[in-house]
Amino acid sequence: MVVGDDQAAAVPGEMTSRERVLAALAGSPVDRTPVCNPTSVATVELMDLVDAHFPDANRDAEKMSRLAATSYTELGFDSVMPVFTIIQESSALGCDIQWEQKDNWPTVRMSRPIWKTAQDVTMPSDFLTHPDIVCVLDSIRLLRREFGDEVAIIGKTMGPWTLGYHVFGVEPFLLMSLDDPGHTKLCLDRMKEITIAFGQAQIDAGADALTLPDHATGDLVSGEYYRDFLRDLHTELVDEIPIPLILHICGRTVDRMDYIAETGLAAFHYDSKNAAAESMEIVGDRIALIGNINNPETLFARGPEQVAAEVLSNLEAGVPLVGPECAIPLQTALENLKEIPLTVKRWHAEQLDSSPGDVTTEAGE
Amino acid sequence: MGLTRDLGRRIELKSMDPHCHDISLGLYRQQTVEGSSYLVHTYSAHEDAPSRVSEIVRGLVEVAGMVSLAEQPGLVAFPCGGRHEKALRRSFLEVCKLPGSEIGGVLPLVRPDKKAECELTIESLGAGSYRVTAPAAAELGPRRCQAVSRGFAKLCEMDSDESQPCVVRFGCGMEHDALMGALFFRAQNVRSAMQEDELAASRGTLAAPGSQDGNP
Repeated sequence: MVVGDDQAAAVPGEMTSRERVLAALAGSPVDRTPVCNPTSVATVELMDLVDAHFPDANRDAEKMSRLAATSYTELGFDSVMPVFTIIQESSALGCDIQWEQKDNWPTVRMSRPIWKTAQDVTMPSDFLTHPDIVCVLDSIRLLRREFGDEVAIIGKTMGPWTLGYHVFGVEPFLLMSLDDPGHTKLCLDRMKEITIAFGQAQIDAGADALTLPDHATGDLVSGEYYRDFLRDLHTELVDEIPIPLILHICGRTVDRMDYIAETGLAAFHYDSKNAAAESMEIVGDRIALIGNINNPETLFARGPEQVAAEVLSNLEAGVPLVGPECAIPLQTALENLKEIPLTVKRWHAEQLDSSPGDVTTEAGE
Repeated sequence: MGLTRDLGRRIELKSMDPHCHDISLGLYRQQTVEGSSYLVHTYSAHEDAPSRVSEIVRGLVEVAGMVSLAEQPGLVAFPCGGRHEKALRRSFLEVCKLPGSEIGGVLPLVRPDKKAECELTIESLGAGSYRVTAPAAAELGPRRCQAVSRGFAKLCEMDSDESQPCVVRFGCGMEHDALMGALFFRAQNVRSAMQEDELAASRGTLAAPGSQDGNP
Protein backbone atom coordinates (compact mmCIF):
# COMPACT_ATOMS: atom_id res chain seq x y z
CA MET A 1 0.00 0.00 0.00
CA VAL A 2 1.32 3.42 -0.90
CA VAL A 3 0.40 6.50 1.08
CA GLY A 4 -0.61 9.54 -0.94
CA ASP A 5 2.36 11.65 0.21
CA ASP A 6 1.19 15.06 -0.84
CA GLN A 7 -2.47 14.76 -0.03
CA ALA A 8 -4.55 14.45 3.11
CA ALA A 9 -4.90 10.89 4.32
CA ALA A 10 -8.32 9.25 4.35
CA VAL A 11 -9.20 6.83 7.09
CA PRO A 12 -10.20 3.48 5.58
CA GLY A 13 -13.96 3.27 5.32
CA GLU A 14 -14.49 6.97 5.78
CA MET A 15 -14.94 7.85 2.14
CA THR A 16 -18.38 7.44 0.67
CA SER A 17 -18.66 5.32 -2.42
CA ARG A 18 -19.12 8.45 -4.50
CA GLU A 19 -16.04 10.12 -3.04
CA ARG A 20 -14.04 6.96 -3.61
CA VAL A 21 -14.99 6.62 -7.28
CA LEU A 22 -14.50 10.30 -8.07
CA ALA A 23 -11.16 10.38 -6.29
CA ALA A 24 -9.93 7.36 -8.21
CA LEU A 25 -11.10 8.88 -11.49
CA ALA A 26 -9.16 12.03 -10.60
CA GLY A 27 -6.04 10.05 -9.70
CA SER A 28 -6.32 11.15 -6.06
CA PRO A 29 -5.80 8.97 -2.97
CA VAL A 30 -8.59 6.64 -1.93
CA ASP A 31 -9.25 4.67 1.25
CA ARG A 32 -9.64 1.53 -0.83
CA THR A 33 -9.92 0.65 -4.50
CA PRO A 34 -13.45 1.42 -5.68
CA VAL A 35 -15.54 -1.25 -7.36
CA CYS A 36 -17.09 0.33 -10.40
CA ASN A 37 -19.45 -0.69 -13.17
CA PRO A 38 -19.19 1.79 -16.04
CA THR A 39 -21.44 -0.37 -18.22
CA SER A 40 -24.03 -2.67 -16.62
CA VAL A 41 -24.37 -5.25 -13.85
CA ALA A 42 -28.05 -6.00 -14.40
CA THR A 43 -29.07 -9.65 -14.14
CA VAL A 44 -32.35 -11.48 -14.60
CA GLU A 45 -32.42 -12.34 -10.89
CA LEU A 46 -31.97 -8.70 -9.90
CA MET A 47 -34.76 -7.84 -12.32
CA ASP A 48 -37.02 -10.27 -10.45
CA LEU A 49 -35.89 -8.96 -7.09
CA VAL A 50 -36.98 -5.39 -7.79
CA ASP A 51 -39.68 -6.18 -10.36
CA ALA A 52 -37.92 -4.22 -13.08
CA HIS A 53 -37.37 -6.37 -16.14
CA PHE A 54 -35.89 -5.81 -19.57
CA PRO A 55 -37.14 -4.46 -21.90
CA ASP A 56 -39.27 -2.18 -19.67
CA ALA A 57 -36.30 -1.35 -17.45
CA ASN A 58 -34.64 0.18 -20.51
CA ARG A 59 -37.61 2.41 -21.29
CA ASP A 60 -39.21 3.28 -17.97
CA ALA A 61 -37.30 5.62 -15.66
CA GLU A 62 -38.66 4.24 -12.41
CA LYS A 63 -37.84 0.65 -13.31
CA MET A 64 -34.48 1.67 -14.74
CA SER A 65 -33.58 3.34 -11.43
CA ARG A 66 -34.75 0.43 -9.31
CA LEU A 67 -32.65 -2.02 -11.28
CA ALA A 68 -29.62 0.29 -11.36
CA ALA A 69 -29.74 0.79 -7.59
CA THR A 70 -29.16 -2.94 -6.98
CA SER A 71 -25.57 -2.49 -8.06
CA TYR A 72 -25.03 -0.57 -4.82
CA THR A 73 -27.69 -1.96 -2.51
CA GLU A 74 -27.34 -5.65 -3.36
CA LEU A 75 -23.92 -6.17 -4.91
CA GLY A 76 -21.91 -3.63 -2.92
CA PHE A 77 -20.43 -1.74 -5.86
CA ASP A 78 -19.44 1.89 -5.41
CA SER A 79 -21.34 3.12 -8.45
CA VAL A 80 -24.72 2.83 -10.08
CA MET A 81 -25.27 2.90 -13.83
CA PRO A 82 -28.81 3.14 -15.13
CA VAL A 83 -28.03 3.18 -18.85
CA PHE A 84 -27.83 -0.56 -19.38
CA THR A 85 -28.06 -0.52 -23.18
CA ILE A 86 -26.00 1.02 -25.96
CA ILE A 87 -28.98 1.98 -28.08
CA GLN A 88 -30.89 4.75 -26.30
CA GLU A 89 -29.55 7.50 -28.59
CA SER A 90 -29.91 5.37 -31.69
CA SER A 91 -33.54 4.81 -30.85
CA ALA A 92 -34.03 8.55 -30.51
CA LEU A 93 -32.26 9.11 -33.84
CA GLY A 94 -34.75 6.82 -35.57
CA CYS A 95 -32.88 3.53 -35.85
CA ASP A 96 -34.90 0.34 -35.93
CA ILE A 97 -34.52 -1.30 -32.51
CA GLN A 98 -35.10 -4.87 -31.53
CA TRP A 99 -35.99 -4.44 -27.86
CA GLU A 100 -35.83 -8.14 -27.03
CA GLN A 101 -37.02 -9.78 -23.82
CA LYS A 102 -36.07 -10.00 -20.18
CA ASP A 103 -33.05 -12.23 -20.82
CA ASN A 104 -31.48 -10.52 -23.81
CA TRP A 105 -30.02 -7.20 -24.88
CA PRO A 106 -31.76 -4.83 -27.23
CA THR A 107 -29.91 -4.24 -30.48
CA VAL A 108 -30.03 -1.86 -33.41
CA ARG A 109 -30.99 -3.53 -36.66
CA MET A 110 -27.85 -2.28 -38.37
CA SER A 111 -28.84 -3.96 -41.61
CA ARG A 112 -31.36 -1.12 -41.94
CA PRO A 113 -29.18 1.99 -41.70
CA ILE A 114 -30.86 5.38 -41.51
CA TRP A 115 -28.05 7.57 -42.90
CA LYS A 116 -25.72 7.39 -45.89
CA THR A 117 -23.62 10.56 -45.93
CA ALA A 118 -22.52 13.41 -43.69
CA GLN A 119 -25.38 15.48 -45.09
CA ASP A 120 -27.79 13.11 -43.36
CA VAL A 121 -26.18 13.56 -39.96
CA THR A 122 -28.49 15.79 -38.00
CA MET A 123 -29.69 15.65 -34.45
CA PRO A 124 -33.49 15.73 -34.46
CA SER A 125 -34.90 18.80 -32.73
CA ASP A 126 -36.81 16.55 -30.34
CA PHE A 127 -33.79 14.34 -29.59
CA LEU A 128 -33.57 15.27 -25.91
CA THR A 129 -37.31 14.86 -25.42
CA HIS A 130 -37.50 11.42 -27.04
CA PRO A 131 -38.91 8.92 -24.49
CA ASP A 132 -35.81 6.69 -24.64
CA ILE A 133 -33.63 9.69 -23.79
CA VAL A 134 -35.99 11.16 -21.21
CA CYS A 135 -36.18 7.91 -19.27
CA VAL A 136 -32.38 7.96 -18.83
CA LEU A 137 -32.43 11.57 -17.64
CA ASP A 138 -35.34 10.94 -15.28
CA SER A 139 -33.67 7.82 -13.97
CA ILE A 140 -30.49 9.75 -13.11
CA ARG A 141 -32.62 12.35 -11.31
CA LEU A 142 -34.41 9.63 -9.35
CA LEU A 143 -31.13 8.00 -8.35
CA ARG A 144 -29.68 11.33 -7.26
CA ARG A 145 -32.77 12.02 -5.19
CA GLU A 146 -32.61 8.58 -3.58
CA PHE A 147 -28.89 8.35 -2.90
CA GLY A 148 -27.73 11.96 -2.69
CA ASP A 149 -23.95 11.99 -2.48
CA GLU A 150 -23.69 8.43 -1.20
CA VAL A 151 -22.87 6.58 -4.41
CA ALA A 152 -21.37 7.58 -7.74
CA ILE A 153 -23.96 7.90 -10.47
CA ILE A 154 -22.48 7.09 -13.83
CA GLY A 155 -24.29 7.94 -17.04
CA LYS A 156 -23.48 6.92 -20.57
CA THR A 157 -23.24 8.74 -23.87
CA MET A 158 -22.28 6.80 -26.95
CA GLY A 159 -19.23 7.95 -28.85
CA PRO A 160 -19.45 8.92 -32.53
CA TRP A 161 -17.70 5.79 -33.79
CA THR A 162 -20.34 3.51 -32.24
CA LEU A 163 -23.10 5.82 -33.39
CA GLY A 164 -21.59 5.48 -36.86
CA TYR A 165 -22.05 1.70 -36.74
CA HIS A 166 -25.65 2.14 -35.66
CA VAL A 167 -26.79 4.80 -38.11
CA PHE A 168 -24.70 3.89 -41.20
CA GLY A 169 -24.38 0.13 -40.57
CA VAL A 170 -21.10 -1.52 -39.57
CA GLU A 171 -19.90 -2.48 -43.03
CA PRO A 172 -20.85 0.74 -44.87
CA PHE A 173 -19.28 2.80 -42.09
CA LEU A 174 -16.01 0.87 -42.12
CA LEU A 175 -15.88 0.97 -45.92
CA MET A 176 -16.46 4.72 -45.84
CA SER A 177 -13.53 5.07 -43.45
CA LEU A 178 -11.32 3.28 -45.99
CA ASP A 179 -12.64 4.97 -49.12
CA ASP A 180 -13.08 8.51 -47.84
CA PRO A 181 -11.41 9.23 -44.51
CA GLY A 182 -12.17 12.94 -44.81
CA HIS A 183 -15.87 12.37 -45.23
CA THR A 184 -15.82 9.88 -42.35
CA LYS A 185 -14.19 12.47 -40.12
CA LEU A 186 -16.87 14.96 -41.09
CA CYS A 187 -19.54 12.41 -40.11
CA LEU A 188 -17.78 11.75 -36.80
CA ASP A 189 -17.46 15.44 -36.09
CA ARG A 190 -21.18 15.96 -36.65
CA MET A 191 -22.15 12.90 -34.60
CA LYS A 192 -19.94 14.20 -31.80
CA GLU A 193 -22.58 16.85 -31.19
CA ILE A 194 -25.06 14.10 -30.32
CA THR A 195 -22.58 12.63 -27.84
CA ILE A 196 -22.10 16.03 -26.21
CA ALA A 197 -25.80 16.89 -26.11
CA PHE A 198 -26.80 13.64 -24.40
CA GLY A 199 -23.81 13.83 -22.08
CA GLN A 200 -24.57 17.39 -21.03
CA ALA A 201 -28.22 16.52 -20.43
CA GLN A 202 -27.13 13.70 -18.09
CA ILE A 203 -24.81 16.08 -16.26
CA ASP A 204 -27.74 18.45 -15.79
CA ALA A 205 -29.76 15.52 -14.45
CA GLY A 206 -27.08 14.71 -11.87
CA ALA A 207 -24.55 12.31 -13.35
CA ASP A 208 -21.13 12.27 -11.65
CA ALA A 209 -19.25 10.72 -14.55
CA LEU A 210 -20.06 9.44 -18.01
CA THR A 211 -19.10 6.26 -19.77
CA LEU A 212 -18.17 6.88 -23.39
CA PRO A 213 -18.46 3.61 -25.31
CA ASP A 214 -16.79 4.08 -28.67
CA HIS A 215 -16.25 0.67 -30.15
CA ALA A 216 -13.08 1.06 -32.16
CA THR A 217 -12.46 -2.56 -31.24
CA GLY A 218 -9.27 -4.47 -31.90
CA ASP A 219 -11.01 -7.02 -34.10
CA LEU A 220 -12.24 -4.37 -36.58
CA VAL A 221 -9.82 -1.47 -36.57
CA SER A 222 -6.15 -0.94 -35.82
CA GLY A 223 -4.46 1.22 -33.22
CA GLU A 224 -3.52 3.64 -35.99
CA TYR A 225 -7.20 3.97 -36.85
CA TYR A 226 -7.87 5.05 -33.28
CA ARG A 227 -5.06 7.61 -33.54
CA ASP A 228 -6.19 8.95 -36.92
CA PHE A 229 -9.96 9.06 -36.38
CA LEU A 230 -10.64 9.22 -32.66
CA ARG A 231 -7.76 10.46 -30.52
CA ASP A 232 -8.27 14.14 -31.25
CA LEU A 233 -12.03 13.79 -31.25
CA HIS A 234 -11.93 12.22 -27.78
CA THR A 235 -9.69 15.05 -26.63
CA GLU A 236 -12.32 17.49 -27.87
CA LEU A 237 -14.97 15.62 -25.91
CA VAL A 238 -12.87 16.03 -22.77
CA ASP A 239 -12.86 19.76 -23.39
CA GLU A 240 -16.59 19.90 -24.07
CA ILE A 241 -17.91 17.63 -21.31
CA PRO A 242 -17.00 18.92 -17.85
CA ILE A 243 -17.14 15.72 -15.79
CA PRO A 244 -14.93 12.61 -15.83
CA LEU A 245 -15.28 10.55 -19.00
CA ILE A 246 -14.69 6.80 -18.99
CA LEU A 247 -13.88 5.46 -22.45
CA HIS A 248 -15.04 1.91 -23.09
CA ILE A 249 -13.67 -0.19 -25.94
CA CYS A 250 -14.04 -3.97 -25.99
CA GLY A 251 -11.36 -6.44 -27.00
CA ARG A 252 -7.61 -6.29 -27.28
CA THR A 253 -6.64 -2.62 -27.17
CA VAL A 254 -3.04 -2.44 -25.96
CA ASP A 255 -2.02 -1.17 -29.40
CA ARG A 256 -4.07 2.01 -28.81
CA MET A 257 -3.77 2.48 -25.06
CA ASP A 258 -0.90 4.90 -25.46
CA TYR A 259 -3.03 7.09 -27.75
CA ILE A 260 -6.00 6.77 -25.40
CA ALA A 261 -3.84 7.89 -22.50
CA GLU A 262 -2.96 11.07 -24.43
CA THR A 263 -6.57 12.27 -24.68
CA GLY A 264 -7.13 13.56 -21.16
CA LEU A 265 -9.99 11.13 -20.61
CA ALA A 266 -10.34 10.29 -16.91
CA ALA A 267 -10.45 6.54 -17.36
CA PHE A 268 -10.35 3.65 -19.77
CA HIS A 269 -12.68 0.70 -19.16
CA TYR A 270 -10.67 -2.17 -20.54
CA ASP A 271 -11.22 -5.76 -21.55
CA SER A 272 -9.79 -8.93 -20.04
CA LYS A 273 -8.03 -9.60 -23.35
CA ASN A 274 -5.48 -7.08 -22.05
CA ALA A 275 -3.40 -8.18 -19.08
CA ALA A 276 -3.67 -5.82 -16.12
CA ALA A 277 0.07 -5.41 -15.57
CA GLU A 278 0.79 -4.97 -19.27
CA SER A 279 -1.92 -2.31 -19.56
CA MET A 280 -0.79 -0.42 -16.46
CA GLU A 281 2.72 -0.35 -17.82
CA ILE A 282 1.50 1.40 -20.97
CA VAL A 283 -0.80 3.99 -19.42
CA GLY A 284 1.02 4.66 -16.15
CA ASP A 285 -0.72 7.43 -14.24
CA ARG A 286 -1.90 9.26 -17.36
CA ILE A 287 -5.35 7.68 -17.26
CA ALA A 288 -7.14 5.48 -14.72
CA LEU A 289 -7.88 1.95 -15.82
CA ILE A 290 -11.17 0.26 -14.88
CA GLY A 291 -11.88 -3.40 -15.35
CA ASN A 292 -11.09 -6.07 -16.31
CA ILE A 293 -12.85 -9.07 -14.82
CA ASN A 294 -13.68 -11.46 -17.63
CA ASN A 295 -17.39 -11.84 -18.40
CA PRO A 296 -18.05 -14.96 -20.47
CA GLU A 297 -15.49 -17.29 -18.97
CA THR A 298 -15.24 -16.08 -15.39
CA LEU A 299 -18.25 -14.11 -14.17
CA PHE A 300 -20.73 -16.11 -16.22
CA ALA A 301 -19.30 -19.60 -16.27
CA ARG A 302 -17.08 -20.01 -13.22
CA GLY A 303 -17.25 -19.43 -9.49
CA PRO A 304 -16.27 -16.89 -6.84
CA GLU A 305 -12.77 -18.35 -6.44
CA GLN A 306 -11.90 -17.57 -10.06
CA VAL A 307 -13.52 -14.12 -9.79
CA ALA A 308 -11.41 -13.37 -6.73
CA ALA A 309 -8.25 -14.42 -8.56
CA GLU A 310 -8.91 -11.94 -11.36
CA VAL A 311 -9.75 -9.16 -8.91
CA LEU A 312 -6.45 -9.79 -7.12
CA SER A 313 -4.55 -9.70 -10.36
CA ASN A 314 -5.94 -6.21 -11.02
CA LEU A 315 -5.29 -5.01 -7.48
CA GLU A 316 -1.74 -6.28 -7.53
CA ALA A 317 -1.11 -4.57 -10.86
CA GLY A 318 -2.29 -1.29 -9.35
CA VAL A 319 -5.44 -0.90 -11.43
CA PRO A 320 -7.27 2.04 -9.82
CA LEU A 321 -10.88 0.87 -10.22
CA VAL A 322 -11.99 -2.74 -10.39
CA GLY A 323 -15.09 -4.14 -12.08
CA PRO A 324 -16.39 -6.33 -14.89
CA GLU A 325 -14.84 -5.78 -18.32
CA CYS A 326 -18.12 -4.90 -20.01
CA ALA A 327 -21.87 -5.22 -19.50
CA ILE A 328 -22.16 -8.52 -17.70
CA PRO A 329 -24.19 -11.39 -19.14
CA LEU A 330 -27.75 -11.13 -17.84
CA GLN A 331 -27.60 -14.68 -16.46
CA THR A 332 -24.53 -14.05 -14.28
CA ALA A 333 -24.75 -15.50 -10.77
CA LEU A 334 -25.05 -12.94 -7.99
CA GLU A 335 -22.46 -14.65 -5.80
CA ASN A 336 -19.86 -14.00 -8.48
CA LEU A 337 -20.68 -10.30 -8.64
CA LYS A 338 -20.71 -9.94 -4.87
CA GLU A 339 -17.28 -11.53 -4.76
CA ILE A 340 -15.71 -8.52 -6.49
CA PRO A 341 -16.21 -6.00 -3.63
CA LEU A 342 -15.62 -8.72 -1.04
CA THR A 343 -12.22 -9.52 -2.52
CA VAL A 344 -11.30 -5.84 -2.79
CA LYS A 345 -12.17 -5.24 0.87
CA ARG A 346 -10.36 -8.39 1.99
CA TRP A 347 -7.25 -7.48 0.03
CA HIS A 348 -7.13 -3.98 1.49
CA ALA A 349 -7.65 -5.31 5.01
CA GLU A 350 -4.73 -7.66 4.49
CA GLN A 351 -2.58 -4.85 3.15
CA LEU A 352 -3.47 -2.72 6.15
CA ASP A 353 -2.61 -5.54 8.56
CA SER A 354 0.78 -5.95 6.96
CA SER A 355 1.59 -2.21 7.04
CA PRO A 356 -0.38 -0.61 9.89
CA GLY A 357 1.20 2.80 9.39
CA ASP A 358 -0.32 3.33 5.97
CA VAL A 359 -3.89 4.47 5.87
CA THR A 360 -4.31 5.83 2.39
CA THR A 361 -3.64 4.29 -0.94
CA GLU A 362 -2.67 6.15 -4.04
CA ALA A 363 -5.48 5.24 -6.36
CA GLY A 364 -5.14 1.58 -7.00
CA GLU A 365 -1.68 0.93 -5.64
CA MET B 1 -29.42 -3.47 3.55
CA GLY B 2 -29.69 -5.97 0.70
CA LEU B 3 -32.54 -8.31 -0.07
CA THR B 4 -30.53 -11.01 -1.82
CA ARG B 5 -29.54 -14.04 0.24
CA ASP B 6 -26.60 -16.36 0.44
CA LEU B 7 -28.17 -19.35 -1.24
CA GLY B 8 -24.97 -21.23 -2.00
CA ARG B 9 -23.41 -21.71 -5.42
CA ARG B 10 -25.83 -21.30 -8.27
CA ILE B 11 -25.34 -24.20 -10.65
CA GLU B 12 -28.16 -23.60 -13.11
CA LEU B 13 -30.62 -20.94 -14.14
CA LYS B 14 -33.82 -20.92 -16.12
CA SER B 15 -33.82 -17.26 -17.03
CA MET B 16 -37.42 -17.05 -18.24
CA ASP B 17 -40.02 -19.56 -17.20
CA PRO B 18 -42.74 -19.50 -19.87
CA HIS B 19 -45.11 -21.30 -17.53
CA CYS B 20 -44.93 -18.70 -14.76
CA HIS B 21 -44.81 -15.07 -15.92
CA ASP B 22 -41.23 -15.35 -17.20
CA ILE B 23 -39.78 -15.51 -13.70
CA SER B 24 -36.18 -16.67 -13.30
CA LEU B 25 -35.59 -19.93 -11.45
CA GLY B 26 -32.23 -20.76 -9.94
CA LEU B 27 -30.81 -24.04 -8.69
CA TYR B 28 -28.28 -23.58 -5.88
CA ARG B 29 -25.91 -26.05 -4.30
CA GLN B 30 -25.74 -26.00 -0.53
CA GLN B 31 -23.06 -27.94 1.25
CA THR B 32 -23.73 -29.54 4.63
CA VAL B 33 -21.84 -32.11 6.66
CA GLU B 34 -24.18 -34.72 5.23
CA GLY B 35 -23.34 -33.87 1.64
CA SER B 36 -24.64 -31.73 -1.17
CA SER B 37 -28.21 -30.54 -1.31
CA TYR B 38 -29.88 -28.30 -3.84
CA LEU B 39 -32.28 -25.40 -3.48
CA VAL B 40 -34.76 -24.23 -6.08
CA HIS B 41 -35.28 -20.51 -5.65
CA THR B 42 -36.69 -17.47 -7.37
CA TYR B 43 -36.30 -13.85 -6.38
CA SER B 44 -39.60 -13.05 -8.01
CA ALA B 45 -42.29 -11.79 -5.67
CA HIS B 46 -45.03 -12.75 -8.11
CA GLU B 47 -47.91 -14.41 -6.29
CA ASP B 48 -47.62 -17.52 -8.49
CA ALA B 49 -43.90 -17.94 -7.92
CA PRO B 50 -44.02 -20.08 -4.73
CA SER B 51 -46.33 -22.65 -6.29
CA ARG B 52 -44.14 -22.80 -9.40
CA VAL B 53 -41.07 -23.47 -7.23
CA SER B 54 -43.03 -26.27 -5.57
CA GLU B 55 -43.85 -27.74 -8.97
CA ILE B 56 -40.20 -27.75 -9.99
CA VAL B 57 -39.18 -29.36 -6.71
CA ARG B 58 -41.87 -31.99 -7.18
CA GLY B 59 -40.51 -32.59 -10.66
CA LEU B 60 -36.98 -33.14 -9.38
CA VAL B 61 -38.31 -35.59 -6.82
CA GLU B 62 -40.67 -37.51 -9.06
CA VAL B 63 -38.86 -37.32 -12.38
CA ALA B 64 -35.20 -37.28 -11.33
CA GLY B 65 -35.49 -39.42 -8.21
CA MET B 66 -34.35 -36.83 -5.68
CA VAL B 67 -35.67 -36.56 -2.14
CA SER B 68 -37.10 -33.49 -0.42
CA LEU B 69 -35.23 -32.41 2.68
CA ALA B 70 -37.09 -31.28 5.75
CA GLU B 71 -34.65 -28.49 6.66
CA GLN B 72 -35.94 -25.98 4.15
CA PRO B 73 -38.73 -25.76 1.60
CA GLY B 74 -37.37 -26.21 -1.91
CA LEU B 75 -34.34 -28.20 -0.76
CA VAL B 76 -33.65 -31.56 -2.45
CA ALA B 77 -30.84 -34.07 -2.61
CA PHE B 78 -29.99 -37.36 -4.28
CA PRO B 79 -30.55 -40.35 -1.99
CA CYS B 80 -26.91 -41.33 -2.49
CA GLY B 81 -25.73 -37.94 -1.18
CA GLY B 82 -23.71 -37.43 -4.36
CA ARG B 83 -23.77 -34.47 -6.68
CA HIS B 84 -24.40 -35.75 -10.21
CA GLU B 85 -24.59 -32.08 -11.09
CA LYS B 86 -24.46 -32.33 -14.83
CA ALA B 87 -27.42 -34.71 -14.82
CA LEU B 88 -29.20 -32.60 -12.23
CA ARG B 89 -28.76 -29.39 -14.19
CA ARG B 90 -30.13 -31.05 -17.30
CA SER B 91 -33.06 -32.52 -15.35
CA PHE B 92 -33.83 -29.13 -13.81
CA LEU B 93 -33.95 -27.46 -17.22
CA GLU B 94 -36.14 -30.25 -18.61
CA VAL B 95 -38.58 -29.99 -15.71
CA CYS B 96 -38.72 -26.20 -16.13
CA LYS B 97 -39.88 -26.70 -19.71
CA LEU B 98 -43.11 -28.32 -18.55
CA PRO B 99 -46.28 -26.74 -17.20
CA GLY B 100 -47.15 -27.92 -13.71
CA SER B 101 -49.91 -30.16 -15.02
CA GLU B 102 -47.39 -32.19 -17.04
CA ILE B 103 -44.73 -32.53 -14.38
CA GLY B 104 -44.45 -35.79 -12.52
CA GLY B 105 -44.04 -39.50 -12.80
CA VAL B 106 -40.97 -41.59 -13.46
CA LEU B 107 -40.22 -41.82 -17.16
CA PRO B 108 -39.91 -45.30 -18.66
CA LEU B 109 -36.62 -47.07 -19.28
CA VAL B 110 -37.86 -48.24 -22.66
CA ARG B 111 -38.10 -45.78 -25.55
CA PRO B 112 -38.55 -45.97 -29.28
CA ASP B 113 -35.48 -44.96 -31.25
CA LYS B 114 -35.95 -43.63 -34.78
CA LYS B 115 -32.37 -44.17 -35.84
CA ALA B 116 -32.28 -47.77 -34.62
CA GLU B 117 -35.82 -48.40 -35.91
CA CYS B 118 -36.61 -50.29 -32.76
CA GLU B 119 -37.10 -49.81 -29.02
CA LEU B 120 -34.11 -49.33 -26.77
CA THR B 121 -34.11 -50.50 -23.16
CA ILE B 122 -32.06 -49.45 -20.17
CA GLU B 123 -31.35 -52.37 -17.93
CA SER B 124 -30.08 -51.92 -14.39
CA LEU B 125 -27.11 -54.14 -13.56
CA GLY B 126 -26.96 -53.04 -9.92
CA ALA B 127 -24.34 -50.98 -8.11
CA GLY B 128 -25.08 -47.94 -10.27
CA SER B 129 -24.39 -49.71 -13.58
CA TYR B 130 -26.76 -49.65 -16.54
CA ARG B 131 -26.73 -51.35 -19.93
CA VAL B 132 -28.47 -50.00 -23.02
CA THR B 133 -29.93 -52.84 -25.09
CA ALA B 134 -31.83 -53.33 -28.35
CA PRO B 135 -33.70 -56.35 -29.71
CA ALA B 136 -31.32 -58.85 -31.31
CA ALA B 137 -33.15 -58.52 -34.61
CA ALA B 138 -32.53 -54.78 -34.88
CA GLU B 139 -29.68 -54.37 -37.35
CA LEU B 140 -28.77 -50.85 -36.23
CA GLY B 141 -29.41 -51.61 -32.58
CA PRO B 142 -25.87 -52.31 -31.30
CA ARG B 143 -24.45 -49.14 -32.81
CA ARG B 144 -27.24 -47.01 -31.37
CA CYS B 145 -26.87 -48.62 -27.95
CA GLN B 146 -23.24 -47.57 -27.92
CA ALA B 147 -24.15 -44.05 -29.04
CA VAL B 148 -26.82 -43.69 -26.36
CA SER B 149 -24.40 -45.01 -23.73
CA ARG B 150 -21.90 -42.39 -24.79
CA GLY B 151 -24.70 -39.87 -24.53
CA PHE B 152 -25.37 -40.87 -20.94
CA ALA B 153 -21.67 -40.76 -20.13
CA LYS B 154 -21.55 -37.20 -21.42
CA LEU B 155 -24.82 -35.89 -20.03
CA CYS B 156 -24.61 -37.55 -16.61
CA GLU B 157 -20.83 -37.70 -16.15
CA MET B 158 -21.09 -41.47 -15.87
CA ASP B 159 -18.14 -43.82 -16.13
CA SER B 160 -17.82 -45.97 -19.20
CA ASP B 161 -15.73 -49.01 -20.02
CA GLU B 162 -14.33 -49.60 -23.50
CA SER B 163 -14.65 -53.35 -23.05
CA GLN B 164 -18.39 -52.90 -22.47
CA PRO B 165 -19.38 -50.04 -24.76
CA CYS B 166 -23.08 -50.26 -23.93
CA VAL B 167 -22.59 -50.07 -20.17
CA VAL B 168 -22.34 -46.89 -18.09
CA ARG B 169 -21.98 -46.49 -14.35
CA PHE B 170 -22.63 -43.82 -11.74
CA GLY B 171 -19.52 -43.15 -9.69
CA CYS B 172 -21.51 -43.30 -6.44
CA GLY B 173 -22.30 -46.95 -7.06
CA MET B 174 -25.99 -46.38 -6.33
CA GLU B 175 -28.99 -46.89 -8.57
CA HIS B 176 -30.61 -43.88 -10.21
CA ASP B 177 -33.36 -45.42 -12.32
CA ALA B 178 -35.49 -42.28 -12.35
CA LEU B 179 -32.60 -40.12 -13.50
CA MET B 180 -31.83 -42.57 -16.31
CA GLY B 181 -35.44 -42.42 -17.43
CA ALA B 182 -35.55 -38.65 -17.18
CA LEU B 183 -32.56 -38.16 -19.44
CA PHE B 184 -33.05 -41.13 -21.79
CA PHE B 185 -34.46 -39.03 -24.62
CA ARG B 186 -31.62 -36.54 -24.21
CA ALA B 187 -29.00 -39.28 -24.37
CA GLN B 188 -30.57 -40.33 -27.67
CA ASN B 189 -29.82 -36.91 -29.10
CA VAL B 190 -26.91 -35.38 -27.27
CA ARG B 191 -26.14 -32.99 -30.09
CA SER B 192 -29.41 -31.12 -29.69
CA ALA B 193 -28.81 -30.90 -25.94
CA MET B 194 -25.39 -29.39 -26.58
CA GLN B 195 -26.80 -26.94 -29.11
CA GLU B 196 -29.41 -25.90 -26.60
CA ASP B 197 -26.65 -25.28 -24.04
CA GLU B 198 -24.65 -23.18 -26.49
CA LEU B 199 -27.68 -21.11 -27.39
CA ALA B 200 -28.50 -20.51 -23.74
CA ALA B 201 -24.92 -19.50 -22.98
CA SER B 202 -24.78 -16.95 -25.79
CA ARG B 203 -28.12 -15.38 -24.92
CA GLY B 204 -27.87 -12.42 -22.61
CA THR B 205 -24.27 -11.62 -23.48
CA LEU B 206 -23.82 -8.18 -24.99
CA ALA B 207 -21.67 -8.23 -28.09
CA ALA B 208 -19.81 -5.16 -29.30
CA PRO B 209 -21.76 -3.41 -32.07
CA GLY B 210 -19.27 -4.57 -34.67
CA SER B 211 -19.92 -8.18 -33.70
CA GLN B 212 -23.70 -7.96 -33.71
CA ASP B 213 -25.26 -9.45 -36.76
CA GLY B 214 -28.04 -6.90 -37.01
CA ASN B 215 -31.09 -9.12 -37.12
CA PRO B 216 -33.14 -8.38 -40.19
